[in-house]
Formats: sequence, structure tokens, C-alpha cells
Amino acid sequence: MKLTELVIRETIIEDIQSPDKKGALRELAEAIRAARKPAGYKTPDVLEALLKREKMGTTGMGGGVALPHAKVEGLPGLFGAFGRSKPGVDFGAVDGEKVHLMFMLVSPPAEANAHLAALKRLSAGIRIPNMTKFLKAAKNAREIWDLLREMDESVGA
Amino acid sequence: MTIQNAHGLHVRPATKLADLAGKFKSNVTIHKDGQDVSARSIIELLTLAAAHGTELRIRAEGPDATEAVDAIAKLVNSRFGLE
Repeated sequence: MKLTELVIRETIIEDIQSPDKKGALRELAEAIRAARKPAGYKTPDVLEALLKREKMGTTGMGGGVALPHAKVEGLPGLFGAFGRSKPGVDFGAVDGEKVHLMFMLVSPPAEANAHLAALKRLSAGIRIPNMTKFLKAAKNAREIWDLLREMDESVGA
Repeated sequence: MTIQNAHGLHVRPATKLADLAGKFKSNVTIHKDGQDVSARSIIELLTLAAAHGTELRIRAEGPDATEAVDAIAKLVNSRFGLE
């Protein structure tokens, strides 16, 4: 599944308002609900699942990037959101740095391999030289979306 | 070694593996189907998309290479202590 299918224009938040992790995750979880309206999707339940996952270990994997994710029962497919925070969000990241780029992924529990495939695309995209720098510098959601499309093209099928 | 946990090498096991690999002086690489990645990088490990049943090979070069390989194999074989 392409990043631009997981994350659509409407689930890109160019300026996350919350300074804290919980608030940032809520903004992203709510963006998926508002834009995609998945059957049975309740933002508070998804937020709770995301926070539960963070408690097992931070998804802030260093370099200012976090991949918050959760498995949500009854979800009709995989959904993604992207959030950017200029001041940064404290994620308790592995390198202790604040997180500026958040790729959120929610998936149904049975879709373990689709989840891995999405993580592969994301991680391969993030590794493209200067990609995180460009994502941080993008002027608006449109430019961020163009970069996601570029990540899709570089990573291939 | 074979990935035995049902959900494969997702973020949590990759984080555990990278954390463990970082404790050794040796350079540790993980191989899957001709792809080599640094065991110290969560992002690189995730690019393997190693599902349940995937065969991986470990290579370590350095003063504590044997210890590193043993420790990592043990972690993988214990299903990362997650199941």
C-alpha cells in the first residue's frame, strides 16, 4: 500500500498544535476520523490504543521522527496520518531529541503483514537522503504530500 | 535464524534488536534475501519487512563479534520476549 494511499492530503497536519505527545496523537487520530470516517472508528478508543502502545516503549525512533501506531479491532483497513511540529513534541524518543515528524499508522490486528509492508515503505522513505529535512522545511500540507509521493516513487512497488 | 513471533519484525522487536546491537563494539549486520542492514538502526531493520517465518542471517565483525551474534540470536529465538 502506497504512503499516499495511507496518508491522504486531509490527514496531513502541517502544524501540530499540541506541545505534548497525548495531544499530538489525539490531533492525528481525529484527522483520520474526520477525513476517512472508518466504520466503528472512535477517536478516544484509538487514542487509548496508541498511548497503550507508547507505554510499552516509545515509537520516537530518533532523528526527530516518530512512528506512533496501534492495532484497532474492527478497523476496515489501514489508515495513516502525518503530523509536523515545528517546536517539537516530547516523545521520550530513543535519542532524547524532540519529535518533529510523526507518521501515524492504525491497522486491524489481522493485518500483520500489511502493517510490516507499510513500516517498510515508511522507513525506506525516511532513509532517502535529506528527506526528513525537506519534510521539516515544506511550506504546507500540499508540499508534504508531494514529498510522500516522491517517497512512494523512490521506494517502488 | 527465523523470525518466530506472529507479527514479524515490527517496531518493538526492531527497537529491542537495535538497542541490543548498540551495546556491542562489533559492527553487526542483518541479512535477508541479499539485503544487508545495520542491526543498530531501527529504521533500517524495518526496511526488511521481515514477517513471521522469515530467515535472517547475522554477521558481526569486531572484538566481541561472537558475543554479539549469540545475544542477538537469543533475542530473536526468544521471540523478542514479546509473546
